[in-house]
Amino acid sequence: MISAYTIEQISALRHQLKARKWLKAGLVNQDKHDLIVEAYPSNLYRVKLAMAALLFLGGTVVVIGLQLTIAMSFLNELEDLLGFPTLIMGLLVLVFAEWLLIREQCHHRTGMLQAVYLHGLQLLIASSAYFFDDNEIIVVLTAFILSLLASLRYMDRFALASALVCFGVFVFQLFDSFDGMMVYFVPIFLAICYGAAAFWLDRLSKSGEHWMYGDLINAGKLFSLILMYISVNVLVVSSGGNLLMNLDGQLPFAWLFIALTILLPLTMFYFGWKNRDRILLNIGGIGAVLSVPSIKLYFEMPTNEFVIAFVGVLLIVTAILLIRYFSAARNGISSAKEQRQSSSILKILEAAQAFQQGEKPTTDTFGGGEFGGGGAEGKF
Amino acid sequence: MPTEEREWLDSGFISQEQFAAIEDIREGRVFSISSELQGLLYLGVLLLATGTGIIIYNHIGSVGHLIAIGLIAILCAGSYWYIFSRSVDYSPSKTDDPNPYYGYLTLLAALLSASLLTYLQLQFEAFGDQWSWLTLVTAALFAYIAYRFDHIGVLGLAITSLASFLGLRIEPDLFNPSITLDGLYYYNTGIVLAIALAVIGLWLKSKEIKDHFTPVYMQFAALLGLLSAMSATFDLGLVSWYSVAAIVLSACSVYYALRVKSTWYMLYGVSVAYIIVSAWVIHFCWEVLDGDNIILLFIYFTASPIVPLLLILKSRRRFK
Repeated sequence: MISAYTIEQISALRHQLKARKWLKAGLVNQDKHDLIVEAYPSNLYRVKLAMAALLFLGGTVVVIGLQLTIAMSFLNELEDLLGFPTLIMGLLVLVFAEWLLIREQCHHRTGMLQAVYLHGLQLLIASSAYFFDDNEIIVVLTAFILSLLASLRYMDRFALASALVCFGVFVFQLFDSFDGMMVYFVPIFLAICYGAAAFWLDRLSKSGEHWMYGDLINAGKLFSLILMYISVNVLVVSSGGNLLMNLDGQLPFAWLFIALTILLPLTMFYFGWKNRDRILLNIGGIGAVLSVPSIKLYFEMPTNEFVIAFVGVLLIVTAILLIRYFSAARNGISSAKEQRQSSSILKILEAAQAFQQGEKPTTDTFGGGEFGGGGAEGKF
Repeated sequence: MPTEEREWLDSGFISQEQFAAIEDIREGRVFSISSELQGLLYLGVLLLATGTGIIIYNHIGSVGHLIAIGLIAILCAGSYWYIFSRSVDYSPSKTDDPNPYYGYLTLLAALLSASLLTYLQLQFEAFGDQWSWLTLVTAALFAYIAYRFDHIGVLGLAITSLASFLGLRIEPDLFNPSITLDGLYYYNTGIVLAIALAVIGLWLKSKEIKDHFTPVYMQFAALLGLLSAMSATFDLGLVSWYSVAAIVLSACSVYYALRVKSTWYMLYGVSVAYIIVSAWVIHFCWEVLDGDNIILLFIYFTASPIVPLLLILKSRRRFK
């Protein structure tokens, strides 16, 4: 198995995380949550976001300081052979991460582990630059492969995002090296690749085959969809063309990118709505909003303050109408918060159960609040 | 596909009904679009408030501005009518909004009021040339709205307006994020305001008056106090009482973090204290040792984070 963690460790962690999720949603009460956590003890060390940021900063300072100290001490002796010590140092840092942080202390998304292994990867990538004479294509390919392996090994979303971005840079470098028209097809090619990746990850997620990597697969789908949209966004492509290929605003196939900038998020939104896929729905919605400033470059649009205020009013009215329309769930879609819904669902179930047993239903189960038709009533 | 929830059902941790309810959500048979609609609502409020602000700024004195102002006033009055008519009575404890969009309309009413007050000042010079008094009145209005309608976001606006009245502002410069401090007055004001906010927040909590607002006061207090003291330290020299103040405030932040089990205050306190102590060490190596022992610096930077990191790792259970 490529993961640095055992199936038992990940399984226990998933139980704990899910127990917390359903506790927050009001579907599991505190006692049951505590029982589940006790039944599936996890020795993996995780911290909150702020603490992870602090540990990441601290860890980065330590490894960089250590590296600089060693480099300053031995630089003169090793100047001609810089690639080897960099490679060895990178491997040592990774061994340190594996041995001390994971095996001994069971770090898992602590920030410190990320600081250490990312530094190790940077050193390995730097050594590849030395060995392959600063060949950009090979360096980026190395970065892509190492990031991908690290994401699977440490189950880290940050490394996965980095791998996907490295893939985009690699494709650009590769197509650019052909000295022909190929480079103009990079955005479309990337959009197809990221789209295919998102589709494949979606299938993988639904099949449940690799349940251990469930979070990573969902994160991969999210990043792929974001990068797919960015790849064809007319503003990004146009700015990238100006910056990297001196196109001076003369973007080939501009009409295609304009069409994709508008249609792709709408398509994502449609399928997100149809399949009740929150990732697609949100990326599609945000992409649709971002399409407006993106295509402003090519179309004269009235953007004075009256239009801004009018659009604001329009959005408020639309949102309020939709909230009211979906206050009673329609086809399972509701504007009530999930925990409110779930509390209401449990109320119904509980009332039905109590009725069958001839008991008076209680009113304070799970702290959810009073039932009010689809969970949308005012009092919770 | 076997799931964790199925295991819980088999082990008797959850009932069949709970399992069915969880499966309904997991399989998408029950799908909430609450957060998406609230995002839409928030975007609408921001656009409307921005649009009205620019309308007032650009069209003041022009022929059509009275119509625009009239429309904004009607919108503002409508928002107030709605939030007053639907509001529950004031309570010192947390109150729930009567519907999902009530909070957003409260925010809209507050922002539109600020726009109208600005208009009154621009057109009629209600406060003469004393623009800062306008921000104080706005701060008072925001504070009233925040407490009356139990809105944390508007309380944040009130504190920001108060800081603005006192002359403090944060430059929106990504590469140089610092409080604009042109002199001693601003450093002192920042630190005093931070202490005042912390005292108010803790006092209100002790009196159980909207004690869920306390984190807002404490966040502003921590950031404002630490940034002011740190900026003053680098601006006025490391050998000043401001560096001591920065260390003391950092210690307070860490103490508060341990007390309320919040990792953010720990992050602020440890970061600022580390920056100040490192600045002292660099100053010592450069000024006292004339930069001859640069290796000392590398050793310091290698070894120094280990102590706080070990402390954090040891105290990790406190934050669970």
